[in-house]
Amino acid sequence: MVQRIKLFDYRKLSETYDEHWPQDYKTVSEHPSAMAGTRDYDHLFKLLIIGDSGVGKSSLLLRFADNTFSENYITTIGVDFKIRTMDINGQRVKLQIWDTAGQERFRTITSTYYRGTHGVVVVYDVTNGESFGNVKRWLQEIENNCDSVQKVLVGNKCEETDRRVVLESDARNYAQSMNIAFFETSAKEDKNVEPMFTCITSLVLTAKLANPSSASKDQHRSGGVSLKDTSGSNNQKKKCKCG
Amino acid sequence: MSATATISPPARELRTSAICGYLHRIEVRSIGLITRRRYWFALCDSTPYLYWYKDSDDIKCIGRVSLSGAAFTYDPKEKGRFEIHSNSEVIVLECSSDKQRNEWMKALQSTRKRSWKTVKSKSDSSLDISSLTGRNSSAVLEEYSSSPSPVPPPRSPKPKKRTQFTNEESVESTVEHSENDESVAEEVSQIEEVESEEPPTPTTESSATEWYLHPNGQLNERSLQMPKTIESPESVLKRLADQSIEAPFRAIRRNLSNWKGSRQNTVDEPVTSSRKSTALSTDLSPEEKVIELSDKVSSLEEVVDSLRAALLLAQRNNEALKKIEDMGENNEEMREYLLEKERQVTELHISNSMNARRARDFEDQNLKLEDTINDLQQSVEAFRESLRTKEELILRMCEEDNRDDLLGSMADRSLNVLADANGLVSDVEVPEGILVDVSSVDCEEATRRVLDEENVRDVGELQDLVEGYRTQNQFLNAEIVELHAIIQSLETREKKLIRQNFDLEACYYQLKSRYLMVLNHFKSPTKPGKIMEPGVLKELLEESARTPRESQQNLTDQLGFYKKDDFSASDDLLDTATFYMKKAGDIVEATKLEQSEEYMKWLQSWDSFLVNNTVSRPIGIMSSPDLKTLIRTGVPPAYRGRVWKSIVTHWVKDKQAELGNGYYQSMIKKASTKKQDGSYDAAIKQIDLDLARTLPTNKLFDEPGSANIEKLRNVLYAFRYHNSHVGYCQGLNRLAAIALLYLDEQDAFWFLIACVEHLQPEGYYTSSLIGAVADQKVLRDLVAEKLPKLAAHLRSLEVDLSLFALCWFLTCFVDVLPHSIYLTIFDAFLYEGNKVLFRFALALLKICEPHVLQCKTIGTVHQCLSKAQDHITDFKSLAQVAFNELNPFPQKTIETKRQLYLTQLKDTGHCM
Repeated sequence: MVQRIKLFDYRKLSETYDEHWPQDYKTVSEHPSAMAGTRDYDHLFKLLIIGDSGVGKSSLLLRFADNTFSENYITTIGVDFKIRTMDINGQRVKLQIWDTAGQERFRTITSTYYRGTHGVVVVYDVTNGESFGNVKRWLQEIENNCDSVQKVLVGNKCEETDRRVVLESDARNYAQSMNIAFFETSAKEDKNVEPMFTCITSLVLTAKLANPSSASKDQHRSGGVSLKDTSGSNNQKKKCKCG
Repeated sequence: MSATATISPPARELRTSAICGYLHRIEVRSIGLITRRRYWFALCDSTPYLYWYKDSDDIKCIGRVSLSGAAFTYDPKEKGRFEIHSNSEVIVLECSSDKQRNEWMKALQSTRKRSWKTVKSKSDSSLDISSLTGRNSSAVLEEYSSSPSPVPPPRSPKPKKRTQFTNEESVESTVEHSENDESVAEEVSQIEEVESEEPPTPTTESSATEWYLHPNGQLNERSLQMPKTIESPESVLKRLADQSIEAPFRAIRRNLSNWKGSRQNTVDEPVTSSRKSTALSTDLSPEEKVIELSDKVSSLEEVVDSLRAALLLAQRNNEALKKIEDMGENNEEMREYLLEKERQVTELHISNSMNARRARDFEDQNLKLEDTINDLQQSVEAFRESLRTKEELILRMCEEDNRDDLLGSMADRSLNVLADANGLVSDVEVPEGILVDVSSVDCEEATRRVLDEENVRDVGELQDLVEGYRTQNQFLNAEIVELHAIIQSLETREKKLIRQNFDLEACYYQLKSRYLMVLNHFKSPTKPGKIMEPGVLKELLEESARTPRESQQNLTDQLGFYKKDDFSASDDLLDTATFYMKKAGDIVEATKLEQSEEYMKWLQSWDSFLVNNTVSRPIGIMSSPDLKTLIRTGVPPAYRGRVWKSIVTHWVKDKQAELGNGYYQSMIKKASTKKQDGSYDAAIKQIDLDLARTLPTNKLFDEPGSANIEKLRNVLYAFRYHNSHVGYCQGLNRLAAIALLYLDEQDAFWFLIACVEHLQPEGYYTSSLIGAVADQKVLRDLVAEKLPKLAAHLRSLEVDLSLFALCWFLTCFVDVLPHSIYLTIFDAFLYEGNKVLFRFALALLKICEPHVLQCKTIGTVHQCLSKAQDHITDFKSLAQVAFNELNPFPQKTIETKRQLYLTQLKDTGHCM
């Protein structure tokens, strides 16, 4: 694994790399190793974005994956996902980010997607007190579906200073009390989105590197639509079998 | 100007107009023999066609006839029969009574009027659009050639010309036509009067067809009147005789001089002269023609004789010359001379044979014309005979009953009527039946009574006939007025279009030449010379920068969807060029498709179906395999609103009847009062959140203040209180929004009810989504069955299909596929229900299958399937797979599987 990291050293890029993201992404996907069917990444992580409806989950993902923003993105029905590769400490990490529907009745379906998740992004809307109030429920949801998973709390729409109802200090305190990372972001104005995803990815990476034994445990997941939750499974498993 | 604004006015007009009645028809066809067949005829204001069907509830029509340029006529003698003349086709129809006929004629006329108005308004609106480009082009023109702007149409001096023409021709034409039909002559003279009385004012609408009308389009006062004085038959005959004697003489004289002249000038060119004379003769009456033709024949024979003589002479010459040559004078000149001679001889041969053939033709013609003359003479003779007997009869009657003034006057009238009838239609039968034997003087009284009765009946009949002709005359006059108006408007339209066309063409060529100039300039950089003025390039660039700004007005299509312009300005000029080239190709392709025969056929079949459906069944739609096939081809966008409404009504009509008329309004009211109470409702809150996130690619929905947002809110609120079991489920917003594209609020509400409560199985949108989840399992099984390779591949990569497919089923592919495709899927879904979704889901997967099978990792499969729409090019190929290649596709299998999974889910406690 170490050798492989060395191999990709030339690609070691700083945070500013992200500004040139789309072009570089292109080159990554067209990398000869990708063509040959071999992996073009060192780690593959699955992230999940949850939170109340309308807090901006899809917008965050869109900003992070495509670096775009749309005032009126369509409602997410069921689940949506995007892929992005980024560099964390010289290691290429491929992120598979799942965006879920916020409406209550979709929870039975979205819960299927907790399985195998490495990190969860819990989003609330700083202009919507109720969505912050529901964070507790979402965290409980994670507890119910996953064993150990990295989490980050995100207060989105922080550019709406006039309509803000959730104070940053309150949220930060709450996050500290729950022992999870906290960010205030603005998908619209591209504030803190990149650092937030970098943070959760490094958290996942650190957790994986700290406990490599669990990573090597490559569990077989049942395919298809299995609505029964397999909450006993190890959430640190990887999809790449040779990892 | 927005596209919707230009379309809606005529559409509204059509909707409000009443639909004309329906009747059974007997069609009379003449294909050698007359056949009478019963068909079901339907006429609808929305379409300018008269359709006929085998039966009243047929979907496919037997035939149709365009009414937009049709003329209608009838003969008062034929009860209930009328004719439609359209595109040189005559359709004779018959109904049971004259009253019904009148109704039909009225309906036909109004339909024609409407269609013509629609065309007119359409052309007006299109003119508006093109005038924009015209202004642009005119600006361009002014810049470079200072040509005048094309807006004011030049007053054409045509009316004047027309009058001159008629004046020149009038003498001849009256003489020529008077023999055939007296009334025509009268009409001609009438026109002359009109035109001479009314000096051609410059304000007249230019038109080449002045007829019964004043130049301002008003009906000529006289044209609706009956001819004032009716000449007695004798005088008519006398006049006819005079003219027929005099006219041929003149014709003969003229022809003779003509002929002589041509013969004297060139014997070698009888072709042109004869052609001239035939051209002349076509305008002449048969009798004249006969005389003229016989004259020509004899002269041609003379020509032939002379030619023969010449030929003989030439042959003799030839022989003599040959002899000379044989004698040994081997002279070059001589040979040439001989060859020349020979050529002359062959030429003469050819012209001879040609003349002979022409002579034969003339003889044939002559014979034919003689026949017609005989016929005409016979008919004249018969007419005279009948008149004579009539006269005798009347005289006798007068003698017998001098005291009875009434009878006398009646007889007079009958005579007048006769003349009148004769004037209108030349082949009117002379009513018979007054053959009364009055030899017995004894029973004078009785005879007189009988005679009276007979006369009265006879005269009564004639009066009826006259009345019939009068109404017919009025009807036909009205027809002429209307058709004239149509012709006028079409002519002005054509002129406008031609003018526009010229402008555009000029603009195009100017642009082209300038760009070519630029190209040339850069092609030869070594010798710049004076190919391009300085400044030209700059102007061109400015202009090209202006063009896209103008096209922004047309950023959305007719439904309000923003046109996908995924082209981001690239620095590479060649990329830009390829992009625009592709775009141009797409536009051309689309236009071609719209003009293709298949497309027209498709539109026609829908038009045919809808006309019959709206006329005979104003509410609802029946289920039939024919209709199913038709709907599977997709509903034309123009008819979609109507069809959807009919189908929705078909599903919910019982519910509508049960819940009453004001149900929708009461639901809205309920929602608003609840909201005012301030009671919290998660569903309402969710609706408010989702309003701005529905169809963001559509202009009518993309912003909180957009036109349809408020309607969408109302519909979803109302539905939330209508069905508290479902309340609101994300996805319903998309369905309602799609409905609002074609239907009004209330219908969209019922549309949503039809979808949720009738078309989708139970539990699709409820709080647990149990129905939708079960269907995902059904789909998985079906994929394993129909697409085993794909299923195996997905299983090996642990791809969960429901990740993609749940959305397909909950939203019926809205915002999954391009709207042109999902709208057509909706057509089939509305008619057939949920099963169609399985068909299309499988079709989509089948089309994606080769791409998915190439994917080696779960990530690439996900990417491939989440962009499934990239592999779907058009609805037709998708439908082909969905409805044909996937068969058999039994509903029963889906149903049993669904029940199985539903019970499974319920047993395991779906709500984890």
